[in-house]
Amino acid sequence: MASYSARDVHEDRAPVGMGSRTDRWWIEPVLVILTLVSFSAYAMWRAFEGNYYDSLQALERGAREVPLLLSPFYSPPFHEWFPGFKERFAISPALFVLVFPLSFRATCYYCRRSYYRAFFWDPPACGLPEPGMAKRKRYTGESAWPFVLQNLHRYALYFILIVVAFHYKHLYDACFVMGDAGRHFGIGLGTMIMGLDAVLLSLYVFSCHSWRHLIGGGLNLLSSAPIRLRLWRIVSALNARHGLYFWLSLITVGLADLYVRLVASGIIADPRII
Amino acid sequence: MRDTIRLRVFRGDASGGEEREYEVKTFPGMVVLDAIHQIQGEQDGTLACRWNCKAAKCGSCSAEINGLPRLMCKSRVEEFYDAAGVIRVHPIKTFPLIKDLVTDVSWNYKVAESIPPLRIREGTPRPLRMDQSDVERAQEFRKCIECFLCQTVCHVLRDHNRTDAYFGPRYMVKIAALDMHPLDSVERRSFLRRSAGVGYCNITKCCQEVCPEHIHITDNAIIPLKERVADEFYDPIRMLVRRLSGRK
Ligand code: SF4
Ligand code: SF4
Ligand code: FES
Repeated sequence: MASYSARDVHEDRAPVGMGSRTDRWWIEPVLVILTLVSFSAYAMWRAFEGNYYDSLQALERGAREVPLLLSPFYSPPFHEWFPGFKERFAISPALFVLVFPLSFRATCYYCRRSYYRAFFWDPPACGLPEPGMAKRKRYTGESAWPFVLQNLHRYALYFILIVVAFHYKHLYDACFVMGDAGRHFGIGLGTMIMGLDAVLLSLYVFSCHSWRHLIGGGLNLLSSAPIRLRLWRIVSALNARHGLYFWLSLITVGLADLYVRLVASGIIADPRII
Repeated sequence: MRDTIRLRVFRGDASGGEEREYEVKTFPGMVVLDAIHQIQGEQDGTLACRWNCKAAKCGSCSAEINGLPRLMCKSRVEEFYDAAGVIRVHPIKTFPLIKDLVTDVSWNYKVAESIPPLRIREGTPRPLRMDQSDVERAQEFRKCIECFLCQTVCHVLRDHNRTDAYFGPRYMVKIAALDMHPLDSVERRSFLRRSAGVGYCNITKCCQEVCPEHIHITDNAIIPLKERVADEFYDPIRMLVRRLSGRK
């Protein structure tokens, strides 16, 4: 059984490590690491691939009719606004697009919680002693460089709001198909996937803590602004599930891109529903 | 439920200590505090622990059960013993140890004294009236029973020992209750950033996970306070607008 002497004691306290957790606390950080690393690897591969992001490409490969799907990794469509971008700068336009969701997610309060735990071990799990304390620098958290920059999360929010609008524009486009008869209305599995992506991204963005503050959290007299009060209540309800929406929207955005890649490269044909 | 369980209780003080095992008979509805009382009454009267209400309302019986801070009076033994019937009970780790399960939490009271109290805005008509929608946020924070479980689990205080820089989650809750009060007139943002050290919290949410009153400490108190501090100190556009419009 554990014991200690005055030598192990810091400031008259019992040593932090004594009698600490033996449950399976490591499951959560392991899942976080696996999910974030595999998503980042996939996103990087797709960005550098710089191909198969527009389903129209399938027409060149002999498909007769394709839905108008654009990968969310290429939205807003910088590649349309600046044609020849890739050739001129020798980098994929996706890297420019990715800056927006990446900065939003990296500074997201929920995501911070998860990576400070899983990657920085600050702490690895609640109540667990932090490993390597002797070698660590004096802890300053988010009060000093570099993590003080997390306070700029609201600016990442402003940009992601634009991205959300574009996701709806692409959802609208996805309600059409292009074929021999030209462009006409048509709903397929791709439309559903784009719809799911747009809705879950919206739930994630509109449950954001900075958004909640902007909508009404910063007011002390909420009763004097009844519309903001009502909105604040809705956002607060969404906010309670912010972490869930973080993961779901991360998965669906990857899924939407994967689906577009499969259709654009001609591996699968989009099943039409209407 | 098992008929007997084995409690490994920390015995000692700041000069050193050890876990000692006690076998305890169980009964339906037994909580860890009952087991401690049984040890005190039948096996070892020198075991020190602090308690008062046995109803999870006084916040005295905080301890670490199997490594996580909890109220002993709210922890059913059957939820905690392992396959061998063992439960480990230790004192909270963040505050100086007096003896066995009793720690000196007086640092918290000193912190509390340094927080600027509520000051009603001058000229507010009497009797004071407040709309329910304006006070409900603060009402959640008023549920706090000052058990300091959140203070003891917070890694800023627990592992990094930054009691010099950060007030801890319990006092973020208190400051939020004051700062969000509809009639309050005190400006606490600079205090929050400099003296209370809200920036030291890295929102890892352990405080919220252990709070026996289920106060959403990070979501409803600390993060909104961080946003208020960001309005004041970390938002270049707002700062520019404030300067141009001559507002402070
Ligand atoms: S969320 Fe902040 S205050 Fe709460 S335990 Fe973590 S670091 Fe401490
Ligand atoms: S906020 Fe919760 S955990 Fe912290 S002292 Fe109050 S009741 Fe206890
Ligand atoms: S004895 Fe009062 S909270 Fe446990």
